[in-house]
Amino acid sequence: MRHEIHVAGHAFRLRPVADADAAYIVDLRGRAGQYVNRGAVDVEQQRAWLDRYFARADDFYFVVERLDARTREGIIGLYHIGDRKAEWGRFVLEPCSVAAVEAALLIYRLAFDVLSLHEVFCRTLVANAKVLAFHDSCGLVRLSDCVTIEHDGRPAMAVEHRLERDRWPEVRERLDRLATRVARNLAPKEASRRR
Amino acid sequence: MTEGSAQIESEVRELVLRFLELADEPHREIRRTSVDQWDSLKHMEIVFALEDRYDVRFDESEFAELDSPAAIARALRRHLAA
Repeated sequence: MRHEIHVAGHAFRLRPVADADAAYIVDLRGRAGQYVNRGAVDVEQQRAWLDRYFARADDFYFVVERLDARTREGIIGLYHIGDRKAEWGRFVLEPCSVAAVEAALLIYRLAFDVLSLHEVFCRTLVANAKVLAFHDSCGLVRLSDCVTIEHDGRPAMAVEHRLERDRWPEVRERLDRLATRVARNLAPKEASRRR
Repeated sequence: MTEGSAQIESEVRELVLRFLELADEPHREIRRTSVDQWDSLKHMEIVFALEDRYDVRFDESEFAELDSPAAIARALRRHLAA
């Protein structure tokens, strides 16, 4: 969807993906490793994918950007929106980025505070243990039964995590506390007094 | 390694294991790359707990290198000596 939603946090923000991000997305996803769908292999394919994305009404795709320098840290999306719930994913960050916690916080803020959804879920390949652990650490509920998703054109087993609205305040508090500390560490030392 | 350095590394190992909810085993290698539980959120919790414990502040550029108790202890010694 072409939208104008920006969600700003302490050190990072989500801003709408634009046509000009096509080359960046191809490059970032190409460096992301085995757990990310390969997707478009060149800029032309990515632009065509973005054209289809812009035509969808239930899909928000963002670039994760640093607030201070406006540099790109990664990408993230909230999609399949309907029946007051949505899936989030397409989450890829630069290898040494420290934006993970705040990017997750911002996508939940979008879901619960901006779009007033009741539930958000995400599906992660069973083998992607670090990301599974991340969702556990965030406080999401891990479903016991695996689901089948498509990965690079083939069926693959995935784990579903869910966050329902009633648990959002608890998760928000945890993520916000950490995101605040991360932002402090990104600030110049002379501008950021300890405790 | 001096006694003080060994103590820092031992304290760091204990803290990391506590945050990762892992039992200590003498020869267990604790590295971020090989411990699934050491995810991005846990990493931040560990880094900030260390900052509070030792009254230091790590730069963003150091976060990635803090990937084992030994590496963290090295970084801490560098900060404490500065």
